[in-house]
Amino acid sequence: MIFPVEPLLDLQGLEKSFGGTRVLKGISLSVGQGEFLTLLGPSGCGKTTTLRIIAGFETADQGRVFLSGKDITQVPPYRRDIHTVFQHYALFPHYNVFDNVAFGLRLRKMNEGEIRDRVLSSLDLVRLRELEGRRPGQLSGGQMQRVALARALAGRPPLLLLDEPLGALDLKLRKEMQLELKHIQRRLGISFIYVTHDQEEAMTMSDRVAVFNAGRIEQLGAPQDIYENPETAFVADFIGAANILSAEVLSSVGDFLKIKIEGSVETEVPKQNGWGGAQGAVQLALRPERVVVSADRGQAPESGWLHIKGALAETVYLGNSRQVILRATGREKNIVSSMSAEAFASLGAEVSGAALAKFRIKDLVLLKNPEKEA
Amino acid sequence: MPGMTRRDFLKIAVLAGTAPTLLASCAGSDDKREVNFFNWSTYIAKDTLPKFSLETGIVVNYSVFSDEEDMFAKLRSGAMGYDLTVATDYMIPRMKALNLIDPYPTGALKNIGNIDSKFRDTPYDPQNAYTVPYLWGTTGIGYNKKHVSKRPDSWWDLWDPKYKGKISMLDNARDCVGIALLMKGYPQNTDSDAAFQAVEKLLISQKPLLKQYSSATYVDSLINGEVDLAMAWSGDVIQAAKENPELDYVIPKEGSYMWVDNMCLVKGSRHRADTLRLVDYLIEGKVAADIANFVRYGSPNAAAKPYLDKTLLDDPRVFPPPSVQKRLQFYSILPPDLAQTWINTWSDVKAA
Amino acid sequence: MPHKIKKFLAWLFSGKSEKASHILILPASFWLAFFLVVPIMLLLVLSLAQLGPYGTIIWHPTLENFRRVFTPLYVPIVARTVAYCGATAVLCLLLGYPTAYFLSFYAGEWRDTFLILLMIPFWTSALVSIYSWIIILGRDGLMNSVLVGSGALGKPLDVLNTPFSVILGLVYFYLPFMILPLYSSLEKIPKQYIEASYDLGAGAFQTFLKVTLPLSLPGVFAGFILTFVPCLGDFLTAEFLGGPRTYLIGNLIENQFLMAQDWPFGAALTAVLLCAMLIGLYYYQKLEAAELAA
Repeated sequence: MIFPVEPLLDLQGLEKSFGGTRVLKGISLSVGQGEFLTLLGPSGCGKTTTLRIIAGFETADQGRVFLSGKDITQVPPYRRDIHTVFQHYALFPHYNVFDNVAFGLRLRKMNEGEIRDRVLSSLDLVRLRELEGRRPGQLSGGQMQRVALARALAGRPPLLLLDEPLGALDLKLRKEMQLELKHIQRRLGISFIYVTHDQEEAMTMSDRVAVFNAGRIEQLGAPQDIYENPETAFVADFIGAANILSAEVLSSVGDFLKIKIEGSVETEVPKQNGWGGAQGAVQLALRPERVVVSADRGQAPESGWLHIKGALAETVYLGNSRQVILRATGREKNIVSSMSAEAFASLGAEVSGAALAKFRIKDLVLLKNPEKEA
Repeated sequence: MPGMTRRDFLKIAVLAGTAPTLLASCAGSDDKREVNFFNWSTYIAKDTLPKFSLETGIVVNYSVFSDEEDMFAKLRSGAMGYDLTVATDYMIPRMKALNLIDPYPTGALKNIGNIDSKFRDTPYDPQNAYTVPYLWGTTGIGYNKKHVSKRPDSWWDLWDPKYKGKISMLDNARDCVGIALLMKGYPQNTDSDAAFQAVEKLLISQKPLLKQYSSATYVDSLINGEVDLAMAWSGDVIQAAKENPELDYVIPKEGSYMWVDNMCLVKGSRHRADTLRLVDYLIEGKVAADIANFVRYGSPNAAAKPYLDKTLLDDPRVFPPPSVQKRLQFYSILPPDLAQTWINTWSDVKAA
Repeated sequence: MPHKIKKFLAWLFSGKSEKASHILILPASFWLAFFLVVPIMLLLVLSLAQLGPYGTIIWHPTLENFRRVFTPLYVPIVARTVAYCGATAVLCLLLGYPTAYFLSFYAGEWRDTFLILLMIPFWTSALVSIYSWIIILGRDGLMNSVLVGSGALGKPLDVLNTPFSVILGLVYFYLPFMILPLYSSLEKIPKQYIEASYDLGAGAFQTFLKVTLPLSLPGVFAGFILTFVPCLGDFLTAEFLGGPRTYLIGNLIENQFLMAQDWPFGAALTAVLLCAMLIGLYYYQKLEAAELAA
């Protein structure tokens, strides 16, 4: 993303170690005005640490944090114009809902009338005005989440940090809250930095997603971009599912690379993502929904298609789709296909024995090799 | 009645620690040749008991108390395994009444003739059925010459505001209520309410001047200057004065008490023969003299006289001259209800 | 046979059988019954008896002992005891809160060491501690030697046998009872609350006032009760470190059992004190329960 003006938040080369373990290995990132950015990754990848450094709860060993162009690396959390929605809400149990939301406003020495207006408008935003007198202990999880949001928003910060805020809610409520959060963010025009390990959540809500792995950002981009053009095996596998195929680059011909896929044939794939210079062993990603399984009758692939031979290992019922797992001949890993119920039905009983995994060559995504550890 | 003299503060703690061992050692050990002896702290010469054990092969488990009421309460609350205890004269009727002590079997002590006839057949124990006198002493005023310019000669000196915060009183009803009756001119056996009210008032009026009520640590307080004047027991002060010449002891002109501490056989003792052997040993002339020489109290033992230190014999504080003796009296043997009145008066004073 | 025993043990510790639960609490129940309930019953019976000659006990029921407890004579002692115990609890709080705060938020890896050090007074004989204080506070004691020796004072301070030395002794003994509940209460505060407070713009002191302190109040109350209540029955400290005018309820009771030999009255005093303590502990219990529920 290119920022017409300076970015709201700018992280430059953050490094952090805890007890000799490097948790952040050079995180650089910019967040624009009004942007919804998600830090996505498995637990222990460094996303929460990054968030805590932005909030000011941790100090980076190296690197700088800029907010609206000002260096806030050493500024304590209570002087940062950034508020946080905590994973377990962290509502003060000794205050009622109103006083929780008013907490930050009272510290600003606003007069009570003004505070009251702001608190109630924040509660309106999360549709909880009628609960202002309740104690946190009397609220449901979803209600506590909304109060936490109202409290963080009451001060109208330009940037809101959300640390897995929906993690403790059940699925249905989570879906509802996702939409509501997105809606509120749009309406207020505040930048959100959202931490989650749920890739679906990240896809639904974000303008951009930063995929974290082992202290680095593996890929940063719009959800669709990341989904369709994952740059590494990790990203491909973490965002949705992917079959990772090993291959060897044989030669480079114009805009194409000639490769040999393990357990399959030689073929040519288009150079993309600037990885035309790849040599030797490479990896390719293939989305399960792009793979069709059919009975192997010795037929030749149609033009632009590739076949991998194997035997049907297992099918998993997933409601509106089936996951079909093919044990490929000459390959270590199975090929996974995701087929619609109808397509699966049309396979019939034919595929009890030898089967084929069929896919288009253009659906193969050439992956960047993960950077070797220094 | 000597309390804890010297700086052997931690003895109580040691005692508290040894009591269970004592109990354990007694359980079912009837055949063992031993005696459990309960005595005032520092109320015996250092080598008395080791010598006895060497001579007889009888082990003496020696425990000490610093407060006679503690001793009494322990005996009363049930068998602690003690065989022999030391008790002051006025306690004897009470202990007899509560059935805590046994009479001595006739003819059991071959040295009983050593006891001075003055100390036999006393009002507190006619025919000495339950008691063998151990040591005797007086109640008076101990003081520190360095800080008290004029030698005190009256009990009223303990009420002198000049010494505010520098005065200590013994912590018991017998001495305090008794002396106060004396000061107010009432007879010791009075049962008049007015007398006890006056006594209570007098003792309460003294409280703002007092540093402490203490029967245990007051000698240390005298030595280190915490207090300058203390109602005291003779031997405590005289014993300490051996090392701290600035301490002295007087018997006030209004008169005071002399008292006798006695060896008593604890009821239920399982080592009676060995206990009698120990008592007999302790009233041997030489042994009794050694003890008196060490603790600086008077010995009621006629046979001990030849062995007593000359300094002790010549010390008018230990053996008062006849002019002073005239002013001394024994604690009265009070009927139970009157004894209770003394105690209640004293309780009220302390609680005020 | 071993198989049967194994089976029995498995049943006993399965945590499911009600009968097994009864068997498991049997030893403790007997212990409590014989060494707590029975003595307290005896005490109550004793408190209704009359005093006979030479401290004997006459088993003729009367409420006279309780009437005596509530005579004006003892009002000053009760007032003094409450004042001393209150002062002790307040001083313990003032000293204990920073200590507990330090333990919770700063002690880090040294925390366990500090907690053990804190427990050391519990393992020392009370008498040894008291005599140590006598040695420290005496006219020739450590404190005066240092103060006079360094020229800070012209002549030694007489602090022994004063209310000061009694309260000092009480604070010394009961401070751990304040620190431990405070510590546990501070320790229980989720760090997220403190971060949330910082996050919303409160500095360290504001956070302490608005978040940490209010959330540690259960510990403050618990500590207050745990110091105040046992302090009510203390007699050793006043006995050894006090003077003629630091006589407390504990001394009064001790006196009835030892010097005065008036066991029925001592029992009545103890029963009343016990009631007061039970009321205190009841409120403590309620607080605990409320805290657990929150």
